[in-house]
Amino acid sequence: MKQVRKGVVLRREDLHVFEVDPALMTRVPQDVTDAEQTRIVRNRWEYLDWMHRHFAHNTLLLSAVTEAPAHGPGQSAH
Amino acid sequence: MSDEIRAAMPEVSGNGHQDVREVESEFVRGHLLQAYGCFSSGHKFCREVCPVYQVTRNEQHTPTAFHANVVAMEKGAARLEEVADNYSYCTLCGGCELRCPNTLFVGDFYRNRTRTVKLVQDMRAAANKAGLGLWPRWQRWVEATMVGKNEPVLDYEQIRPVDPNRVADWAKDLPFEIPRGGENILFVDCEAAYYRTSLPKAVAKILHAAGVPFGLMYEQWCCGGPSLEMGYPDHARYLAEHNVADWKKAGAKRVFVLDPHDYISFVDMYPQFFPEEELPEFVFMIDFVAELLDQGKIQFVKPIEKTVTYHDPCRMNKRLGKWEAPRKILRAIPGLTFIDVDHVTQWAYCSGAGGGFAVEHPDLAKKIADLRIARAKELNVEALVSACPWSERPLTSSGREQQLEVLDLLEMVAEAMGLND
Amino acid sequence: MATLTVPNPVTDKAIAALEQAIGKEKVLTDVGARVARTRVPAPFPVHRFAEHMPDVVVLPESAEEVSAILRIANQYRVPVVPRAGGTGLADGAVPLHKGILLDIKKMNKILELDLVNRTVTVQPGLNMLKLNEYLAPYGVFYPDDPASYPVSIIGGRIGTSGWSLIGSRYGHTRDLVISLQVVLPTGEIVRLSDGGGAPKVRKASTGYNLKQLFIGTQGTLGVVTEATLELFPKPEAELAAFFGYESFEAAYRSTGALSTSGLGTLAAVILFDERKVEYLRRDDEAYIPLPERIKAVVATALYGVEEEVRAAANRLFKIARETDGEYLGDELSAGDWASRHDRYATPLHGRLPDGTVVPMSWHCEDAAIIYSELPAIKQKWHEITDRYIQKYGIFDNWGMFFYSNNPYKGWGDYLVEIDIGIWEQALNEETWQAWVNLKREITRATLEHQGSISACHGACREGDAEFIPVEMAEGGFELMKRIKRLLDPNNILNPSKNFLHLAYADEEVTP
Repeated sequence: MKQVRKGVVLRREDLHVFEVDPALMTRVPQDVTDAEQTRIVRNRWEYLDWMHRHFAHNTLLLSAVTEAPAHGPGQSAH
Repeated sequence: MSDEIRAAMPEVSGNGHQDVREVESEFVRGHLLQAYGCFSSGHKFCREVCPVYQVTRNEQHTPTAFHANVVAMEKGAARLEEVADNYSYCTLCGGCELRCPNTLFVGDFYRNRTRTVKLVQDMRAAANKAGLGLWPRWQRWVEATMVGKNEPVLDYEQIRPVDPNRVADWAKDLPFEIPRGGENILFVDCEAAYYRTSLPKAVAKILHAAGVPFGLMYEQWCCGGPSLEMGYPDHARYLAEHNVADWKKAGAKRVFVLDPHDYISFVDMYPQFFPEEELPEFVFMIDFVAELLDQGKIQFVKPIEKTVTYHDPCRMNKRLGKWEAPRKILRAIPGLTFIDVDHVTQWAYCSGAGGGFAVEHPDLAKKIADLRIARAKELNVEALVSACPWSERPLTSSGREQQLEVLDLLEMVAEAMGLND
Repeated sequence: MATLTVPNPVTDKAIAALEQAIGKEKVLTDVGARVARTRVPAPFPVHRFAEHMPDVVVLPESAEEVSAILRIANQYRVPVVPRAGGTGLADGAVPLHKGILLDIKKMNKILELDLVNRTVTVQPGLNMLKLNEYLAPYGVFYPDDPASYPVSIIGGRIGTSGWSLIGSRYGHTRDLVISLQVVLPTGEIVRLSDGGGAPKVRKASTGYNLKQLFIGTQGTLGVVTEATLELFPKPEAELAAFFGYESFEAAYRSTGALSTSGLGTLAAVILFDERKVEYLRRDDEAYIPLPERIKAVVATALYGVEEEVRAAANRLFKIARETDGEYLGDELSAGDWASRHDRYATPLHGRLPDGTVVPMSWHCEDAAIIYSELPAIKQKWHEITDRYIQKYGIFDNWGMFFYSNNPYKGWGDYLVEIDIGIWEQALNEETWQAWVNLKREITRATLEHQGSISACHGACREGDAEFIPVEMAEGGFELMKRIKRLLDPNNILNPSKNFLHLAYADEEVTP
């Protein structure tokens, strides 16, 4: 488990999903399994794609249309 | 229920007369934090996804109401017996808890998510524990299941038990013998074993043709899931214990499952009752067929000239995130024109058959099935394909009224493999 | 607050009359029906739960049934509170005096699609996402896009005069409603259009513009039972671009430059302040990796024909760069934009002062404030909020957003939002009163900076409502009271909302 910043950890390198520092979860149980977590992340991306399609026929990205970089500061291609 | 049947019932605790105030305070204690997770949100993004709400448009039949009731009970604004019946208005499809931002957007970050399915099941169990007697048809259904060891699927009117000795009758006229026991077991759910017998036949033929050795259980009982869903967890466990013992006796390492409701019982409920190492591996038949197809172990040789769309079984799509394999299979069937409605849109679709809903609220369940068929009709297809035998009965019935054929995916696979000739 | 005459309870006789008028199955008195319609997502005095439970719930399916209900309410002099989606953030649908809860969700039919004249006529219980799923095969789109888009319904959008996330391109609810059928408090059914009576005409000077009078009433003047809505072509292209800045001041200047760019496809300009970015870096995976030097963010979104969007994107990028904006990448931009309905308030974002996570309810302040006053209001609101957090320990400051607030343009005034978490489980009368006082201080600051109390949620709550007469002191509130009394002589429709009990202060009227 890697401390990403104060209050945030990276436990699963495979999924690359940030998690709240478990030390802060003393009042709320953490009972989502790794399989469920994977399913949630996947469903979220599918849902976001769905929402783009719902609002427009085509989703354009600034990096594809201008010389803007695809990745922002602090973000890597994962 | 006749006295004779009642006398034949095993003693299973759980249908009790515990003091309702005690039951209530235990229930509130157990669910309060989760309830605030919803109550303090108020997003209600679950609502238009909910199949029951879509046909009643009544805010009390929504997941947010289910959670608000818990807070109201805590604050003395409601009592358990005043709100418990609301929790029968749910098919336990799981669309709500997936669509909830607490799950979909931050469930991974906090590793805490909304669990409305559990809330509803627990309330049903609490109401039964307090002996409120709210749902006589569920009670009869579970009692008949105890006697018939399988659900009473042949008699929705009187809810009379099935004959447990006939659970494998579907296999009688197959051109090959299926042994009992072995490492690979085919589990045939109640609806398929007694009602939609064409489905297990098709599955047996597929496995046989693919050269996969398999056997049946010595004595197959209901998976127990419906008893849990109707609020009888002890009965569910009683049935599950038998099945696990039967698998042990058979030496089962792998259980093929042809019904999503069984599958979720095995992968969700059984691990709560038994340690992992006591359970075999559970393989959903649709996944297995897709795998066989990939490996070239089965071939589709016979075209099916039809335009179809697909119904995602709720438990696979919404509760387990499995939606790719059936689409892959449909796209591989020669002659078939497949008009897909994506699985995210289908978070809001349901047949109405799940969670005991059709047993206790048949009229509303029919409305849900009607709506599902109407949505398929809009696509100008000839058939709606499902992969869940429980959905197929109500959908077939609504389909008949609206002139739309309803097909089973595994039966189509057997057809495309040329196994029906 | 002025003393209220205790309203009449709903008697068995009144319930029997309702059952006779609309059918027994549409009149609900069970506790579950009433609990489910007690609150909206706005912070709720949960310790006084029972006080807000309605006596009876009615589920009408037509204008005639709504009319019958209102006539009965007049006869028995009992309050009627209209409820649409129940997702409002300002208590419009919360029963202040119990009474009859009129739930319009069953009225969700699509009545007519007119592709030639680009209109769709619907009942008010229909949700926008569902409407757009229905419209999609026809290539048309109803672009009313609040954060509650997946669940809120058209009647509530009209009742609150809702704001849309893409309103700077497509207009807001009031711009998208062409005409209305309304049931007046006394039961008359009327049709109102924009300056006339023709249901599909968008602009007329024939008569008074009565349509707008009935948009944003919070259900105090009538119940909308039908609406004819504007249709747009479904956008060919969407492009969202988020930019980071090293100071709020830079981001604020950039917001001004972007919003006055004149780009016709520009649908939204949203400024995030330092506290918002700090909070997102704490609780939102998309922002967690952002380096500390990024202190503020500006989000933009373009919609329209693809060639237009491409060209606009180039201009947008140029302006952002010239005003010290740094593009935050495709994944954050597209992903966060698509998350816009879900992202901003989730109870577990709540933190106690020691950092531990507890489920908190969301207060979303929504004043409308002109551009020049944004930096000052930001400073004041944070100062107020932090003071209360320090004293009571059950609130959390989730930072501020400033959204372009006007139809068809980005400039002018902004919907200014401070998001505050409230730990409802810990509420008691003392902390609830503290909360209301916090609200009052925020509202006072709004008025001091020439702002309006609410851009879109409404000013129905304690902490807002008592300031309506202050904001509308130059005769506006007096006129509102006269209109209310004229249309609702017995004060039955959503009584006491918007401080309108004052309309009856000089006469004996119950409730």
